[in-house]
Amino acid sequence: MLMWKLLRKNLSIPQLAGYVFAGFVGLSIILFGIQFYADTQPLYSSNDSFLNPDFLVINKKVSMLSNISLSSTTFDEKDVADIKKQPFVKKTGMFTSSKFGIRATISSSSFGGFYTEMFFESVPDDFIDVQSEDWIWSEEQNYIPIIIPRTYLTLYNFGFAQTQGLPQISENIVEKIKLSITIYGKQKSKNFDARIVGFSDKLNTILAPESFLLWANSQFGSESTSKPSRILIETYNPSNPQIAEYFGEKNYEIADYRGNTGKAAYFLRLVIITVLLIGLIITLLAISLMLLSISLLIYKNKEKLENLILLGYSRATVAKPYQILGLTLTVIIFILAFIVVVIMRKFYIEKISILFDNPEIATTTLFTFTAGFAILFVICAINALWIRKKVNETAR
Amino acid sequence: METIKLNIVKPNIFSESEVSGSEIWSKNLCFEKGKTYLIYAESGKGKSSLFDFIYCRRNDYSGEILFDKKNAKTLTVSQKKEIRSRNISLVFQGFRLFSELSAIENVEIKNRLTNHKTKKQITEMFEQMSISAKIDTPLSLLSFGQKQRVAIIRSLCQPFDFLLLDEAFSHLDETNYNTACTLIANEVQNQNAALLVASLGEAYKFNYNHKILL
Repeated sequence: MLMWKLLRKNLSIPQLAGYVFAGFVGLSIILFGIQFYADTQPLYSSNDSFLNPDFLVINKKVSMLSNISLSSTTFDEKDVADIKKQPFVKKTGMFTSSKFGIRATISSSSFGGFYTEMFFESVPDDFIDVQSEDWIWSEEQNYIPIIIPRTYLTLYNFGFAQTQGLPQISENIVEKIKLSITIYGKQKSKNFDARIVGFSDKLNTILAPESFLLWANSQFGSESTSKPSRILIETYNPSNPQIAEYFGEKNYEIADYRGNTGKAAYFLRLVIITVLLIGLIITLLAISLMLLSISLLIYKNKEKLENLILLGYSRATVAKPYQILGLTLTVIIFILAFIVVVIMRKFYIEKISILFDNPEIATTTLFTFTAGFAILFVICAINALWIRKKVNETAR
Repeated sequence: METIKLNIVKPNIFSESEVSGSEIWSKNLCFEKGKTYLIYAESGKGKSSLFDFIYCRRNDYSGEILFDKKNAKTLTVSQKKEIRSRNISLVFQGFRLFSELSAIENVEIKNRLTNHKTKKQITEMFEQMSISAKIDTPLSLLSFGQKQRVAIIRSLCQPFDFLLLDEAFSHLDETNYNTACTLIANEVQNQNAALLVASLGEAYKFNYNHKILL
């Protein structure tokens, strides 16, 4: 205590308050950025859950001419053969469409009941990346796994549910909903259970296993064969410039699978990084303010430090009160910043947890706490070493 | 620490001719534990420099100072710290007291390094030096002579083999410096230490083994 009484002389309260304030602002921003990033993590990682990124979906451009049937939007055998010849194409897959009637019913105590006419398409199984036990169908099986476009859910959550006062639902919940499917044609019908097992950004269609569709088409479908309007291609390297060149020449379109979600996620990530950088700069400024302030303090107390060392005090002992001061202030800053982050998180977490309930990430502040603790440790270490250095320089 | 040997020590700022009459500079000399030395010289001959060298505060000299067999210039920071808190005590000419602390705190900050004296012993010393009334007074409010007495008390609050007094009685009247001398002599005797007194010429009331002209 005697040491503190001696060394606190010349302590500048405004300077240290400035450090606490600036450090608090900077660290709050950093921790908030980290927390927000952690909470919105599913947004960045929700790539197509089942479709390999090397796959492209192509279709012909729909034009005025196609409306009046002067130009076809379907691929004929010659087109397909030509695509297969291209050096960048590893594999092609055709879409199979349902040629029978489908009616889907959802009955749920919380939503009431829906029913809708719909359709299925399928692609060869080796283009699908869902766990194989989820994506199988055989004739004895009364259950159909399906994959729907992610935009459907977005439409429901942000278009329909909000305006109708219905609850918003997450992907995880959707995957638990049971659907009843009735297929009919050729004067007969059959009932199936179905469940959504995945979401796609890349394919704007409702997918069912190919084995199911082939069987159902043969049992319930009309005989007419239709030409495919879309083709799946596996490439060796999707960024190969030859691909765009070839498709441009042929007037084919590549489906923009990143879609708006991807762009929004990218933009959000950019914003978070900017915010983190600003927070980092403020924190660095705060740290330099503290280091400068303590250097000044040590300089002003130079004679006292020297006298203490001449009395037989070690440099470590002399440096300790200043180190404890820096440590205490930094811990205060950390606690304040963490409280602020926890409070601010309350305002958005409810909305976010509805959209993607990932209980591992979205419900914890542990990650932020760990990151904050690491930052705290680094700041304290810098602080302690800097003070020790200054004391050594001052009192030789 | 039994001896402090000076082997041809000379401050860098002095030329050979300036130290020609000295019995210390550029000579071989050994201070031994248990003996009392008077080092006298007119001002400007380097009394404070000599004590700074022995106290390892300064290195700007040629030759070598040996603590037993250890060269003072090669001591580590922590060895210096040990020597200052256990082997050598020095009453600085400028006192080096802390004006933020009270008189007793100035002594305690030294004593707590080794807990050499009890609180009661310290209070008794204040009484003997007749400044017990000022014991809790902030140092900045004390007179020069009172500060000098606090500095003397502080120097006795540690174990030592050598006690160095750098014109420690310059501002004391006769009564006070007599009591101070008695106090110092007793402590030196108790610790069987050596006493090195630097003075402008006055011998004070110690029984010297050696009187050395600087």
